[in-house]
Amino acid sequence: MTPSEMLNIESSQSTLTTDIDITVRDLNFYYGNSHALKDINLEFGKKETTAIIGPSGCGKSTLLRIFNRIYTLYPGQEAKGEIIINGENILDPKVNVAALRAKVGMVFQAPTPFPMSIYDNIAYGIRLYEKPSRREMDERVEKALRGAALWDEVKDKLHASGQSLSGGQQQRLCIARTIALKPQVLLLDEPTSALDPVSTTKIEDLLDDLRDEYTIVIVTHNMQQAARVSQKTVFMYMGEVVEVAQTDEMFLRPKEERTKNYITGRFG
Amino acid sequence: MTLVNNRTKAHDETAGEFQRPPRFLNGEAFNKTFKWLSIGAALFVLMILGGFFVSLTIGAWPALKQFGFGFIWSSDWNPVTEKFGALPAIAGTLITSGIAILLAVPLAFAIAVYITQLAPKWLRHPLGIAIELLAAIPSIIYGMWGLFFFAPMFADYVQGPIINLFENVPVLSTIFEGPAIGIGMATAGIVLAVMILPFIASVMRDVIDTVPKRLKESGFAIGATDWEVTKAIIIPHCRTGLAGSIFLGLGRALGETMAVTFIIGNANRITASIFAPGNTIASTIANEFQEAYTEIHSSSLIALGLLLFIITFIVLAIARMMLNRIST
Repeated sequence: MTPSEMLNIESSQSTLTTDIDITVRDLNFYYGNSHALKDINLEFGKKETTAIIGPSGCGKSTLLRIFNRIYTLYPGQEAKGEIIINGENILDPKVNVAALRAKVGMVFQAPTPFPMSIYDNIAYGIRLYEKPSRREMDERVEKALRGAALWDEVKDKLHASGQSLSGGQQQRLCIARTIALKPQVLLLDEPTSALDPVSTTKIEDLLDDLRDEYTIVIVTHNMQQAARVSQKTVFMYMGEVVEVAQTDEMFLRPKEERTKNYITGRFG
Repeated sequence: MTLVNNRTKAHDETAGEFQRPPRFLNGEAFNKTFKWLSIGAALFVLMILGGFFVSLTIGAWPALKQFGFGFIWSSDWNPVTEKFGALPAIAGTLITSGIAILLAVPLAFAIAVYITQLAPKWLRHPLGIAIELLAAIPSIIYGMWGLFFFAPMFADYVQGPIINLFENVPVLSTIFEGPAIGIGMATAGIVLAVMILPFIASVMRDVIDTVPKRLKESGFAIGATDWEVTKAIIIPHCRTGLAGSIFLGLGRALGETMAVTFIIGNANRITASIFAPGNTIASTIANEFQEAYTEIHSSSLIALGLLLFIITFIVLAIARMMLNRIST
């Protein structure tokens, strides 16, 4: 390979952004008889933050809940198609969901600390997969809490109840709990919709820090938030993907009429 | 303009602007009466409760005066010598209720977890109804079933083998001692367990239903299994409510009379063996009330009743307090 060819490859990579971490092919989703997602085809870049926006009921949370197969808790919900992560179709019933969920972590709309201490909130998940020594566990817990920018606030009360924290701290605890499992993908389902503006800013700053390490998919109602935290944005409407673009591109020059109407607030 | 005119016209027929047309049972006077009637009804309940306590205390007074606190600690119960002590009945009550709780709680919890977490949707409702119907069976039927069907079977297939099995084991041979006659405290405890099972299960089901869906989902989202979510999230989250449901079941077990009277064997003595016949507070009262000819005998029975009243009142109050914390 000549140096010029290498250069070419490098330049094409920089325009093509990054590697692909999640590939969605011909995905359809059904709540019983209702057809909630229609022929979704998408790619999510590795270590890139993708925001999914769209009006209520457009299927953005539904899509997110397929990536860790949490929807399988509810009978009658069915996904057809393919979602490829690390070369494996995760919709294949043979895939071990516990292992999948360690790789693909999820943070929910409202904080959901487990009814246990701050320390155990993190340690509990780790113990489901590994049996680290006490010292190792302490390190893992500290690392996760630091990773979620919570360590300094809780280091003196690790054995207080997780539910005694403020809402924003609880949400960061949930993020810490998720990254403690060393996931590859982080799914965030409107993670700040139950938080005050200060806590929201902290979470957004945190997401900025986490971007370099994880593939992040965030569902949000808040378009400013999508603009602030993501590199790529997916606009969904009525179960379909309308437009996918670099975030700046989408907010400055939306190609589709429906995208334009939504981001300028004409419906939503 | 026309609009305004029409409005005034319509109101003219009923006099003033802020008046409703007079109707029977609709006036301020009736409203007041209604209010006081409901206050009265509510107070009536409290009066009944207080009345029970007062009349039981008055009835029990001769016994309490004669035996004092010794009434609770003494194990004599002899109508002929007119010596009365409540200890055998208290012990029997605690032992049978204890057996019932030990057996019913794990089962009820498993049922509640199955209904709320695991059962397919179409099965949840019928199962819930089946459990509530189990609670609707009159206790006399449990008593008859226990005496005629369960006790003989229990004697043949469970008591006999257990007595033989532990014959030479210290401690256990004392706990499981005696002729395999079927009736006794163990039998009463088992039948009680079946009786309180539906109450505990259905309250536990309601309590577990209060766990937010999102909290359970986040347990599953880190890869926990059904059992792990149950153990680490559901149980700690509704600890108080679950304890409340146990106390509710205990309250019922303590006071249950008919079924226990049928199958406990009615013996006023304390034994270490749970296969031996015994008595509970309620069964003692039910058995002896008609034959209590002396004042001190009937007064002692009423004192037993007062004791049961206080115990169940406290247990049920604790249950209420724990369950109320859940709903807020």
